[in-house]
Amino acid sequence: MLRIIFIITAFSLLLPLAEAKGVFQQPSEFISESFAGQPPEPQIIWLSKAMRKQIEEILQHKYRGLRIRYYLKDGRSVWVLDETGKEKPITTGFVINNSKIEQVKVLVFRESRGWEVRYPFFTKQFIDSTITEKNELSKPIDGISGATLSVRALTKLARVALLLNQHITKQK
Amino acid sequence: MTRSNRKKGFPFFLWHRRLGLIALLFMVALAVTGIMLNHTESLKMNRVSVESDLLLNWYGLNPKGKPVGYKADNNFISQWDHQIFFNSMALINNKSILLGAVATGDIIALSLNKSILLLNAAGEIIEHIDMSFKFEPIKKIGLINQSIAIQTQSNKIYIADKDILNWQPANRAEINWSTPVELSSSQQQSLKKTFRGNGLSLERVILDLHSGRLFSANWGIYIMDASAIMIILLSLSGFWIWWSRTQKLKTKKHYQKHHK
Repeated sequence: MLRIIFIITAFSLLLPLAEAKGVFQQPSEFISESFAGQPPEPQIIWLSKAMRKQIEEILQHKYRGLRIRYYLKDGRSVWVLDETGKEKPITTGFVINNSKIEQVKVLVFRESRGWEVRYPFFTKQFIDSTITEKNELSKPIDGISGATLSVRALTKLARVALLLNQHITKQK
Repeated sequence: MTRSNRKKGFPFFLWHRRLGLIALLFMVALAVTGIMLNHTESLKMNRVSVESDLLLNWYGLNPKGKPVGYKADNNFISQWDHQIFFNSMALINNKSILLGAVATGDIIALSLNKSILLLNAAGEIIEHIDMSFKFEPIKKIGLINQSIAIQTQSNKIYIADKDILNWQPANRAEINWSTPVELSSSQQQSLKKTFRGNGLSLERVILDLHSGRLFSANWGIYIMDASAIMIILLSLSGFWIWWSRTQKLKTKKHYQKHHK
């Protein structure tokens, strides 16, 4: 009996770890799905010094890259961005419609902890968020205990996606 | 005294002697390194960098294995022990193997197993393109009419557009594949210097020798702890031997005085 209880306990403890890491959706599939199966050609935004500085202020670290690709069609833009939670990058997809976040989806999670950020109860908090003048989100995002760094990474990415979207909207 | 009688008594001075011999080496090391550390400034130990390959290897400051290099225009892209270099500048640390590098226009593209890294002429990263979701692992990278081409593990060829945003499948064509080139000894020295960063100061080595961390980061300090305990035991056992001998001598003198 004790053995069975031990096996069940061990299994229930290891189960979350088993589903913690992984590719939940391929970025190309997310992009295609966001445009109902007819994705536009990718476009690129070259980062000016000022733009890069703003991104680095949000991320609180250096950003290594001079351009970021995005997909734009009928006023909706899709961004697939990476940010490290604790040790490894979390790949997240953002759909922005009319300067508001329409969808947030964790596509690839490589960390061993903090995977709860991929669940809709967390990601739906971002919906309808806009970016303020101080490059903050217009809506507060509640954290998840034990997933602080992943929450922080996703919040930063949401701000970057909205900032980049604002930039391309101004350019148009 | 017979041999059997000697065994019965507690050979305290023998243990003292053995302990002393064991502790000797550590005591000398502790004392010498301690004196040196007391005079770090005057000995300028923080400015002296250690060049011994043995020590640099021990500290993991020498790259392992052999470097691999590719030429892209006038620039040299190389990888040594996971570190990727642009000329002698450290770019990124990536466990994937560097498969080649090509230059087209102002862009330099280097291929890893599952990604393509785009650089500008100054070696700044333009974009790190994750190819793992679109293609199987890459085998090699090359150029065809100034366009970047890749060949995957199953020998499928894809050619990138001008902005390197889209990849189109292509038939086998005359592609100039990037091939590795030998690194000269001066280039290797330059990469080693970059790999080591600030290098290894003599002060660090002496400090680690003094604390025991030189032997092992985990259990090295316990060796020095053990030698410190040995010194304490030596002091106590030394005092015990002196005191017990004094007592014996007193008893002997008293006996001789009153029983002659």
